[in-house]
Amino acid sequence: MSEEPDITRALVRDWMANYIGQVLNLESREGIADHPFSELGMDSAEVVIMTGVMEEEFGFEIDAELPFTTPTINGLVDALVEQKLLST
Amino acid sequence: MPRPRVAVPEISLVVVTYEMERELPRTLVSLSPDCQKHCPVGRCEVIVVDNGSSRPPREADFAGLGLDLRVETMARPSSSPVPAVNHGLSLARAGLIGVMIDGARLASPGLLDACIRAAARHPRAIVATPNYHLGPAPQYVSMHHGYDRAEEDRLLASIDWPGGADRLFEIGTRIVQVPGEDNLRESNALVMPKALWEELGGYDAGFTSHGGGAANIDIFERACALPGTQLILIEGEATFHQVHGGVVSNAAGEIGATLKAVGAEYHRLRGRPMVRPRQTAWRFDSASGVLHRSGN
Repeated sequence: MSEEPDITRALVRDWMANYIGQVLNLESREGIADHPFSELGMDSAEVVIMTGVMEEEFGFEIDAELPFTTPTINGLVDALVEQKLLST
Repeated sequence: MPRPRVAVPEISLVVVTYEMERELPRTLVSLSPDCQKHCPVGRCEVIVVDNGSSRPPREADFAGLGLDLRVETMARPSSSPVPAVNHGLSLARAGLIGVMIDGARLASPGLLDACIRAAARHPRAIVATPNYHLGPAPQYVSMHHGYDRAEEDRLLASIDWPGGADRLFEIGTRIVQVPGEDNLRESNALVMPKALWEELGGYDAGFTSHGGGAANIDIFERACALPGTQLILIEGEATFHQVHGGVVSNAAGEIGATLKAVGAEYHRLRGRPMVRPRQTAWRFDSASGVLHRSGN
């Protein structure tokens, strides 16, 4: 019987919202999960850097292309769930 | 017999080098009195700190440049340039100190004079110069399309460098670090009063990764966060990166992995993401000497 990963979608989603909020000095993190990173103001280097920090924080590897094919918080989280790196 | 040092200069420039046999001589030419406007012998001292090159540079190799030059060799080089930078900072004699953590950068001809003039406009000035790469694109892109040392040599010859050093902007590409803005996250010729460098404690020795990771971004961010400082961006001058295999700037195939490692090291050290400097910069026009303060 396969086990669900310990790391939840909600945990990673909130972590990313908090991270991006700090980078961009956002007053509110409300509603940012469905906005493309570029629209929020993150450049591609900052997105890549974020995935590197995520890899250390959560212990899984994120394909370099993934944040650009699913360029929102929710998009990336959904992709990681699909890869069974996160639990629902 | 070592050449006697001149009286205290107006500015000390620390230049870190590693395996830059081709690039360092050009960097030093660009900093020499023959190339730098309004920078006669005595106004500037250059402290080269070699971080473990297989054939370290020697002061005598550059005797003909007319520079007040000191060449140091790190006895115990590390993969990070941070100890070398801090060693150079400890030797700097001037009250105003600039750091070029990557010694493979040509200075535009008015850079030193502009930095000195700009620094005089605020007691706690953080003077930053824009970052360019030689070539048609950022080198971590152009290297994928054949840009190499031979092409760079050809570009420099096309503007008759160093004689045509005013034309460096024609053969360089500005590195945009903050989307939609021309603000900086770091400067590859960062100039501050000695007192500010001391207040910061120099570069953070915790950045031990190859090439120093985000050490240069970190010092810029920390400086801008100090109370009472004023960031002044120089307009009309810049440094121009020469292709040489730099860890980030020339990470041709591995820029993604490099950025991840840089960001992760920073996060481990600071416990938070790299953030953009929050200061609103003044802008100093090097040609006119006009200072545009924020809101003006």
